[in-house]
Amino acid sequence: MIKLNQFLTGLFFLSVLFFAAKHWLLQLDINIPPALLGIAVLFFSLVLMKSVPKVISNAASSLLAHMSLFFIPAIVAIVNFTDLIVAFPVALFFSIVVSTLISLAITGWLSQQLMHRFDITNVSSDKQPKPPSKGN
Amino acid sequence: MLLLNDIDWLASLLWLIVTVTIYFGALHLYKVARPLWFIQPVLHPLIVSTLLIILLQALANTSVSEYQSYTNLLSALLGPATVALAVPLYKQFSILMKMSWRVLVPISVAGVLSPALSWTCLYLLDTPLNLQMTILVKSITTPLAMDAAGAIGGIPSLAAVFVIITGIVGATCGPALFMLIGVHNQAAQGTALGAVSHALGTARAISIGEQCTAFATLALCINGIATSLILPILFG
Repeated sequence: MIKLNQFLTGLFFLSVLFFAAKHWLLQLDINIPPALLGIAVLFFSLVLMKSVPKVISNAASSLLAHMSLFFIPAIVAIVNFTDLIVAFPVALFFSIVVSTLISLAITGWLSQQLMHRFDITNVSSDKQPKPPSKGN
Repeated sequence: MLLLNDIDWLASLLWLIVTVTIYFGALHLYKVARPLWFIQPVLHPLIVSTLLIILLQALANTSVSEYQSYTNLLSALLGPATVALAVPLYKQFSILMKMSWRVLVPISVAGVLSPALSWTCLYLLDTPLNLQMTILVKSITTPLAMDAAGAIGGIPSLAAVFVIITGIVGATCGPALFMLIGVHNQAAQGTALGAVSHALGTARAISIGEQCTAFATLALCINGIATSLILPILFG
C-alpha cells in the first residue's frame, strides 16, 4: 500500500510537470514538445537537489518499464494508412525498415569505436553484454 | 481523460482493461519465447498487442478513433512517462559529460544519415513529393515529427505512422542487430537506439540497462530538437 501511495505521489508530480509545461508552451505559443521541456525542468531540479527523491524514482522506474504500453493507442491508427502502404510497399519497406537497420548499425558501430577508445572500464561498468530482461 | 462524461465510460473501462491485459500477456509471451531467439523479434509485445487489438476492434465494430478516445487515459500517461526519462539522464550524467563529443558525433551522424537514406530510397523509387517530405522526420519523436512534417510540406498524421514503424523496427531488431555486428557497449547501443528509433528505441533501451537508457534519452532529445529546428530551415 505504501508503495502504491509512493507511486501515485510520484506520478502526480510528473503529471504536474508535464501538464504545466504543456500549458505554458501553449500560452506562450512556443512550438517545442512539452515533454522535452518537462525533461529539462525535472533534470535541472534533480541537479539542484543533488539526489532523486524516492517518490520520483519509484514512479519513474515503473512508468519507464512499461512505456511501450502507452504507445499502443497511437500505434493502432496504422490501420488508417493501409491504402498507402499497399500502394508503395517496396519503397516504404526500403525507406523505413532497411534504412533504419543500416542507420542503427552504423551509429552503433561508430559510437562503440569512439567510446571504446575513450575509456572502456568506465563505460561498461554494467555487466555487459546483458540479455534483455523485459520485452519493451 | 476529461471527456469521460461524453463517452461511454463503461466501454472505456473495458477497452482499458483489455489493452492492459493484452499488453501484459504479450510481454509474458515475449519472455517465454526467449529460447526461440530467431523469431523473438516478431513477437515483440508492441506488435502482438497491436495486431490483437486491431482484430478485437474489427470484431467489436469499434473504430480507431473511438478506441483512442476510450483509451485516452493510457495516452495521457505517455507525457509524464517521457518526463520521467530525466531520472536515468540525471543518474548517468557524469558519464555523459565525460563522453562529450564522443556521443555528439554519432548522434549527428545518425540525425543526417537516417533521413538521408530514407529519402534516397523514396526518391529513387519515384514516390510523391509529400511522401518524400514526410519520411524526413521518421527518426524523431512523434510530437516533434508531426510539427516538423507540417512545416516542410509533409503529412503530419502519416509522419506519426512512419515514426512509429521506425521505432518498432529499431526496438524489435536493434538488439539482435547489435549482437550480430558486435556492438556490445551499452552506451553505444543506447546512443544508436535513441538517435535512430526515438522514444520507442528508448523504451527498448530501458530493458537493456540504465546506462543504455541515459544515452538513448540524450540522443532522443538532441536529435529531436536539432532535426525539428533544421528541417524547416532547409525545406520550409
